[in-house]
Amino acid sequence: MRNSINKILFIVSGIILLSSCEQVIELDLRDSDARIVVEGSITDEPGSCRVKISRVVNYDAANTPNPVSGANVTLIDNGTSYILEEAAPGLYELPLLTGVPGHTYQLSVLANGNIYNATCKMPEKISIDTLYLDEEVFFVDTNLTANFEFQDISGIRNFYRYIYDDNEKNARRNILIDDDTFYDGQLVEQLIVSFNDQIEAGDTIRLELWCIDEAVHLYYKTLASIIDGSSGQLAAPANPTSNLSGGAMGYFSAHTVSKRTVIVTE
Amino acid sequence: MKYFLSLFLLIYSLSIYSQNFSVSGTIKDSKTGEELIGAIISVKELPGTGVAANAYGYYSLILKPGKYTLNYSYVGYESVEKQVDLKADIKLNMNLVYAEQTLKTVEIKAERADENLSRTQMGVEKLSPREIKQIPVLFGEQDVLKTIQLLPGVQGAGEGNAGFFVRGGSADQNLILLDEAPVYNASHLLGFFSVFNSDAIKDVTLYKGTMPAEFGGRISSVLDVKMNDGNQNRFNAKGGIGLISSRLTLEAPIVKDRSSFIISGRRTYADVFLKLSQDSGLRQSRLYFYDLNTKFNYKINEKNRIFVSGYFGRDNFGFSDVFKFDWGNATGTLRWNHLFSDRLFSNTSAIVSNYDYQISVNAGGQEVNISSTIRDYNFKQDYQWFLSNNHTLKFGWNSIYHIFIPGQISGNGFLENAISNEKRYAWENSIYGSDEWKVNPQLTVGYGLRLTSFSYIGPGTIYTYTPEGEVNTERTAGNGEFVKTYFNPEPRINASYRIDELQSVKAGYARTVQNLHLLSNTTSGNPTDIWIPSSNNVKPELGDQYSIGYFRNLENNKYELSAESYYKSLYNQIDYRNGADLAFNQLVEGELVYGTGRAYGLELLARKKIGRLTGWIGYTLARTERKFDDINEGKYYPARQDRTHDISIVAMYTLSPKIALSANWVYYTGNAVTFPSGKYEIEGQTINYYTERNGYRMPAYHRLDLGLTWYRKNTETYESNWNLSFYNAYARRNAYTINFRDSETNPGTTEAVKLSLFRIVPSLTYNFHFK
Repeated sequence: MRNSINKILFIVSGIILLSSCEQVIELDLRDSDARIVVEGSITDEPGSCRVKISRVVNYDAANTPNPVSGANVTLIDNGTSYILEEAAPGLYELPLLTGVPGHTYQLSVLANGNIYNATCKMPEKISIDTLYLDEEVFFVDTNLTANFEFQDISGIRNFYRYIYDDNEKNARRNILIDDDTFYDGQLVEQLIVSFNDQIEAGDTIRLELWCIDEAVHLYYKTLASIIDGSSGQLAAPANPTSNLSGGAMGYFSAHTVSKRTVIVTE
Repeated sequence: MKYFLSLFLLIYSLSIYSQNFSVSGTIKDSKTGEELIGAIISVKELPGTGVAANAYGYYSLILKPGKYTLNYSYVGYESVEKQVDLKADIKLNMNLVYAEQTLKTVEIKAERADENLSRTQMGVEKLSPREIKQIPVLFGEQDVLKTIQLLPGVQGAGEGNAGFFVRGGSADQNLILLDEAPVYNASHLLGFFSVFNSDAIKDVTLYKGTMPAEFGGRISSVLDVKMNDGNQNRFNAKGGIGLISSRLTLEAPIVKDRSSFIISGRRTYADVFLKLSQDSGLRQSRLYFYDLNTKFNYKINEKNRIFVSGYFGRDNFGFSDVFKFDWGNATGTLRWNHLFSDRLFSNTSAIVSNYDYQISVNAGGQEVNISSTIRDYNFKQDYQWFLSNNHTLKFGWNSIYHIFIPGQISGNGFLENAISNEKRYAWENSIYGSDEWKVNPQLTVGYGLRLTSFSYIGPGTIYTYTPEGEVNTERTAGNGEFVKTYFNPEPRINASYRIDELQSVKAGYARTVQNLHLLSNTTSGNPTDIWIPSSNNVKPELGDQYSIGYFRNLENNKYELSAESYYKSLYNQIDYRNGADLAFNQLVEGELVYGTGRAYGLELLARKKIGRLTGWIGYTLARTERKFDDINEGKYYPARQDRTHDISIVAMYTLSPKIALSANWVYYTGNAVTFPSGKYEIEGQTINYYTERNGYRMPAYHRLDLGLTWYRKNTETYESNWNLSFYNAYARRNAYTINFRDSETNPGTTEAVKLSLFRIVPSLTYNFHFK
């Protein structure tokens, strides 16, 4: 809510100040340390345990991947220890394991002599009950909306992430997270507005509902605040709050996934 | 209070032994009847003896019996000499004539133009509306808050922004008073305008150094804005028609020499242009503000006078009926001036201040309303006792009841069960006493003490938090329960030593306390930023400021030079945890972290107040740092408003009786800012990697503004002028923000993008004045 108000204010102030202009500039940025980045997850889908390890590069370098090979990656599932195999440079997998809601997973990464640990409990699973498309007028444009419902579990804090995908026509995926502060225990109706005007009949809209852990929710929330387009307005942008120890960037998430798709009709 | 009284009685008994008499009265502008705040009354036969008229134009001078020549002066006015033979108390009201800034009168010089040398206060800046009117600003809208940013030690919050920082303090550490009522959000329209309509303003004083003991509540500065009382002599209508806004002021006596009123309004009409747009989205948008200042005064008799003043302003922003967002301040002040005797002046004020915002969204079948308010009920009693020509005492007390209504949510749809944040209450009390003591003709010492108590009171839920910010304990406080009370003494002292006719040195120390804290994590501030009280978790912010200064006037007080240096320590400063939710969060105190700060600097100012060419050159060399355990490994880091160099040059030139020119140029080191040093990928997106807080600098900022005022007619009954101004005359593309993103032109790389807001902004205003 607050972010969207900020954004609207920012856009409108931009409209008013017609003389504003954008310009690419050269900045002399310092070299950064090559910190380890861990992107780890396990879900309740088979073969989903995947850990990507890379390094931070200087800001003015090219966006080429900087994978970390030869790391020792282990996952402990309620006391049983597994070793992940390096399937591709920097990508470690465990094809045979399927996550179970309620289990606590411990990830341990040994890379270049340093150890990075994280613990995450997979929350109870909540599934999407219905998904349908609708149209809604927002300001002046008519936009497609994806409407969906799910039943929140009462008495506990639930944290969600929504993945909305319209045939990958949107290059950029927004991080959509939510929690049940305002609707504990209720049947929740949510809608996601598509500002993509290239959608046509026959396209598939895919929606995923993830039940995530509180620390992962905080990670995504702090991540979203710096990739938000108005980050230049933030008084003090900072690195996202990670649930990994040892100073690594990134996260380790054990979450459930519920998927639905719907085809666009005219 | 007892101690104060006995102290006063002691001083009184010391001075009473010789029979003295008083000369007292009110000093006014001859044309408008407006009281002249700070006019100087000096005694020719007793160099170094004098007194300044107070906020109500009242003065009282205590002298031994005898014959004296009194000199009445005020900058910009012709000074007057008066012979008195003092055998009993005398009442002497004085009307001073404004020296029109035309060629024939520019030679007039005020005899006591050296007030900057004799005043004990340091770090005080005064601006008259006449100065404010000549200085070119953005959109041609004359603005107090933007003009003060041109003074050393004062920084603007950003391009075109009315927010300001004083000597390294934060934006919320300035106490902004409009006729004694605190104004909680002093800006309109996303900060591009201030709430002060310069037509309604009589006097502006900024205390950036040791603030006098009668002020308290913020740790950095006091901006004391006084509204016009209304013309006492005849009906006047004045106004201006500009490209972006228009204003109109009406003032008139109601009963001559007894009562008058003023009403002044202003409205912007940017949204009118939106209606002309091709884009139907823009056509349905609203974005404007208006404000209304009004004041009424009535003189019951020579000893009693009442004033009623009010301000109401509102910003309105919205889109069709889908989205509405409006916010604004309302203040009201009722004052009673009473003279217990010629020597004891009293003012009693009852004040209400209110700031609120309302948001309503009605879209997709969901309706949500959000509102937030802060309101003060304030009662203030001030006395000024002109004890002798060596002592002027001020003392009084103040009681404020604060109500905070942080986030009220209502609506249908999924927010139906949303919980509104609880209201919170606080009670702030203070007493103060101060004395300005002329030890000898060279040395004057001002000393005072303010005692403040601040109580966070129930009803409400009282939380304690773990060091990680999670709720630790929770309990319910009863109605009126004192949950937590803080007592703080605030000593203030300053001294001024007059070396000779042309130079003086000064030094000062002040402790200040702040019990209201603004939570804001954007660079330019937001209408939705909320204020919270000190509580069981949030401690009062404290500030200690030490300052010294050297003041010198040249060529018969034509030029004023000053050098001031300050060192400031700040305690219990507030910052936020990463990802903190500041709005609509009942547990917002768990999101806060606390640290300290320090700021020091040197301010140089050369000023010319009289002649065809007036203006100033100011330079500030400063450093402002903060220190928090969890930020930058607990080491000092530059605060965002840290600017090493800050230069401003302001010049106003009377070319002919018809044409006045003005120009100002500013240059400053870019603010401290956090830029990424590295990057990495998460889910295929490039993510910035930050190394240290505020470790980089924005590019240096500079800008030239030009203004021209063409006086068309100037008769006894009508006056008009055109004002043409160019903001950013050489079209410098100053950086407003710098964003980092994936390059579109060069895929696989990232780039830094500078956003600059304004190139040249010309504006034209027509001003008129029926008198």
